[in-house]
Amino acid sequence: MRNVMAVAGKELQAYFHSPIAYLVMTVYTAICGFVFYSSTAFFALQSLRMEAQGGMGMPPLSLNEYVIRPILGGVLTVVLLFLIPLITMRLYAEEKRSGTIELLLTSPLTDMEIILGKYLGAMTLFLVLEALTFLYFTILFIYGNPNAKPLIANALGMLLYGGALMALGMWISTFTKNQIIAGAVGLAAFLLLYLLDWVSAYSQSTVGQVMSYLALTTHFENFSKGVIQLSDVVYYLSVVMLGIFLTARSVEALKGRP
Amino acid sequence: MAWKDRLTGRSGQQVVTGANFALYTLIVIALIVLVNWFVNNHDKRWDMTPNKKYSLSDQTR
Repeated sequence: MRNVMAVAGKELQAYFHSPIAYLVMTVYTAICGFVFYSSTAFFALQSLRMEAQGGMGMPPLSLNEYVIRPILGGVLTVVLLFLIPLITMRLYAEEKRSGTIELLLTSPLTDMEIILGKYLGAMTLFLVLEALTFLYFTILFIYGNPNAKPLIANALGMLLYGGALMALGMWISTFTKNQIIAGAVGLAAFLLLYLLDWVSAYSQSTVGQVMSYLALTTHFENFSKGVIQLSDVVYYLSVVMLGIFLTARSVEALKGRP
Repeated sequence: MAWKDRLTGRSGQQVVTGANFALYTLIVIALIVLVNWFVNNHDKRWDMTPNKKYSLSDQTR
């Protein structure tokens, strides 16, 4: 465990000593801010309209439904598709390019310790992004009264979503020593996984259902609504485990033919 | 060493290791698929919304 932490710390330092962490954080908060402002402005307008029409006996609009849900499920999941490859592309590609991969492969640390360390380091940066997101949501608590409980599901879902993308991105970065290629392939793979749910629009066959199940979007829907469903949690955890396992296989293959 | 292996320059040992490698990977993937399939058939959900908006009431069920 101490070894894992040491690798994670080193990874995190690498992120924060290069412009990458700051770039990702800036881009993310800028987009987040714009989206947050737009949806709250729209929400305010809608509430005002309802008020003007005497409410029509409807309950007041929910901030969770009209602000948090579209931000998380509609926008941030897409933004992360673009930003996470930026975080993961260097994990192994950088080591291969600079030649430090030999040191890693022959070091007394086990492969798994190194992989988990790298993964934890990248996830810590993701946690910073998630904290920034929820910082925006706390503003809602100051000026409005959203429900806190669905936010638990939102936070868990975002963590699992990011974790799944990170694990896959790390695996992809073991294939090449070119960071750009690792990033581009990661982005393409994530986009495809994101769009896979389109199959369900025209196919109800078993293959169609399986493909829709494999899509990242299908499983985020519930979390953004504020519902935790066991199969969604298991899906994301499976992707995380698969990504880490395949990374381990890939690293082992590097040892086999140097 | 078979002539095919001699052409590709692989020893029997390497072929066995490769096969083991592939088998191990396949077994793990199969396990993950199995777990997902099982959980999908025994699903549970926790509705965090204040008035259980996304759950069927017991009456409906």
